[in-house]
Amino acid sequence: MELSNIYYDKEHYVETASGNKVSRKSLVAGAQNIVLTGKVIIQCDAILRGDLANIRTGRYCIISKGVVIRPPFKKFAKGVAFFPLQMGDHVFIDENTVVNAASVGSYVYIGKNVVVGRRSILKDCCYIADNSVIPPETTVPSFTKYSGSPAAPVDELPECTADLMSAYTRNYFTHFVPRPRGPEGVNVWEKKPDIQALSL
Amino acid sequence: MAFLAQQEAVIIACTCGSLKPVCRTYFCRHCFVIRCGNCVSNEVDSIYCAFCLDNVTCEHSLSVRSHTVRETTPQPQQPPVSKHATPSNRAYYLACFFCRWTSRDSNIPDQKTASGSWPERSNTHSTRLNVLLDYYKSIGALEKSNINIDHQSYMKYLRKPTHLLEDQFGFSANVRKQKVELLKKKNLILTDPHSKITVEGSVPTDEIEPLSEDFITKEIDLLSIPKLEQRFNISDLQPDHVSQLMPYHKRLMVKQSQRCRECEHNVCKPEYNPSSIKFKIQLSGYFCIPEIRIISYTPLIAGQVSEITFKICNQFKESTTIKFKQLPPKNSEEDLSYYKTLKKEILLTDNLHKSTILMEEARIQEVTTTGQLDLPKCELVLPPRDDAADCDDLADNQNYNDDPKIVIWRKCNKVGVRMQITPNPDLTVGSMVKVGFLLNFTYTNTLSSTLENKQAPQIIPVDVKMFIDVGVLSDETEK
Repeated sequence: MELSNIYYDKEHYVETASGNKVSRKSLVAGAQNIVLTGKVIIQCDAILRGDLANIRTGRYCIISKGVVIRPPFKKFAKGVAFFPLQMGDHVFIDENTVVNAASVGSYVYIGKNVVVGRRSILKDCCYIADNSVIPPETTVPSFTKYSGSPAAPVDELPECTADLMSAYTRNYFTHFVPRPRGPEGVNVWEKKPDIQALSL
Repeated sequence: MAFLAQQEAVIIACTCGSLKPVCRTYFCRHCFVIRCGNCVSNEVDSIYCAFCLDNVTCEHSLSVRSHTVRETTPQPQQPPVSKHATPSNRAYYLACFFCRWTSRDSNIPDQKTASGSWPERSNTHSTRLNVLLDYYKSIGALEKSNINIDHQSYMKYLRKPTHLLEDQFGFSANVRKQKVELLKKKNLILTDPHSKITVEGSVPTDEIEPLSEDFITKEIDLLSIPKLEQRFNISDLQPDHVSQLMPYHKRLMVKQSQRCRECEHNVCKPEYNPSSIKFKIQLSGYFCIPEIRIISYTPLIAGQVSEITFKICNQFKESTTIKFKQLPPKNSEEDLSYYKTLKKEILLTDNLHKSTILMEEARIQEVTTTGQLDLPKCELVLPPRDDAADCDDLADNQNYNDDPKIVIWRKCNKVGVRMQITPNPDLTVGSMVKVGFLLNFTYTNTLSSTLENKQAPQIIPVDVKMFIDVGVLSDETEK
């Protein structure tokens, strides 16, 4: 089934010259440490903790509602150190997921309500099913589908996963369009903007 | 995007009869047929660790590798574990960050080195297992030495060094063919009774240890009893208490390439890293067969005409012309000629390097369509895939003489097509409406026009059966 249009309110989103669309209702902490390469969507209620360490995303990354991207830490004898978080191109992260990974490869799909444990490595072309928990310091190999808590490999992905994922994220980006003005464009699933919150 | 949404709405029939989504099929560019995982031959390229991508080639390093892998990722319940050093005496123990299990819980002594030799619990039946293994090895050796009938062809087979690799890498396609012939000629029988090693058969016993009183009277603590899965992970010991759970060996992964059974060319040769430039040979059906996706449809009502719109996308680097045809009647000559592998002799090699000849029959799966699609009679030309054009929002390549009743829009290599659908009148509300058609597309064979051989590229028409789960039937009153 082809993706239907996903509407957003233009006044709620900041659009950069490189095509990034960042919701004003998202929390981007330490913006100087965050690099969004282009055509990245950050939806409302998403949290990017750039104040802890650098976060770098590739092109066509979709960060859905309520996602937390948090650079991982490591305990040492004298304290704790945070490490930068790298993310490849064409990464899709579904709603309410927490990503604590050290690196996320390209063409990665992370489902809803997933916890990606700290300092784990997601290699290129992998799929994390909804409601999974990836234990800390896990390596998820390419072309595998992980599911469950603790997540374990359940299936293999086809060899053309890279193209499927890039088609998916490109398609998502083209269908993520501003809400048209007028009564037809009103969506029932999205709350109307809170005028009081906007005036603050 | 069938696998992402877990909706396999559009499936195609492979030439062996299996039904697969397009991304799970291959298209052989030498014999121009659709192949799937069921009708290609798999060859083991190498064995490697999926976590560190260290590839292991010989049996010696294999045992070393599986040993070290076990040490870094012991699993009482699956999660990975890392080493923790206590600063005072620098002893190491294994800990799981997921379930907080440590190797101390299983009474495994701490080690002086991080990669220390973690003890393995020995199996009480290990001597018996070793005797049996030796016995099976001797039988294997005997089988090999007994091939003396038709000596000439066997020596010819032996002279080729490839057979030596079969234990490690499986069979290459040529060796496989030779072996089929050879095995057909020689019916392997163990002829020499003297050289056979004899093993004592296991003796059944009537004496069984009586159950202890605790078994009946004591309350069961379910948390201390391992799950079946956990027991089977350590199959030789099968612990019955969680304290006996031990780290177990991790499985290595196999890099295997797929080969067309007809022409023996590779259809897919994977690499460790998917974005590697070496990952070139991948003739996935996704890149050659036009992709069809449903955009929208009006409510489906039994016996009434509804409108459905499809998006058709050409992922191939050459343009293609597509035509729609009705499915041929079931089991007609035309229908059966679609299945290219109706009956074939194949040789299978299992993990124990045992060869068996099997007759492979086509796996024709019956599909009943529950709706009629009014197929357009005109041809549609789809331009080639162009990644650069996707970035151009103003691309204007609309010089196609399309029927506006059928073609709604065009953008780069994609086209929106409108069709009429009529669900069968006897269909009940809530059941799935399934339609099918034969998609004929042209495949441009660029292999034939090389630099030396300046021929025009060959254009081959290919038929593919497509079945689409459109949606559930609605009630007429809901309209």
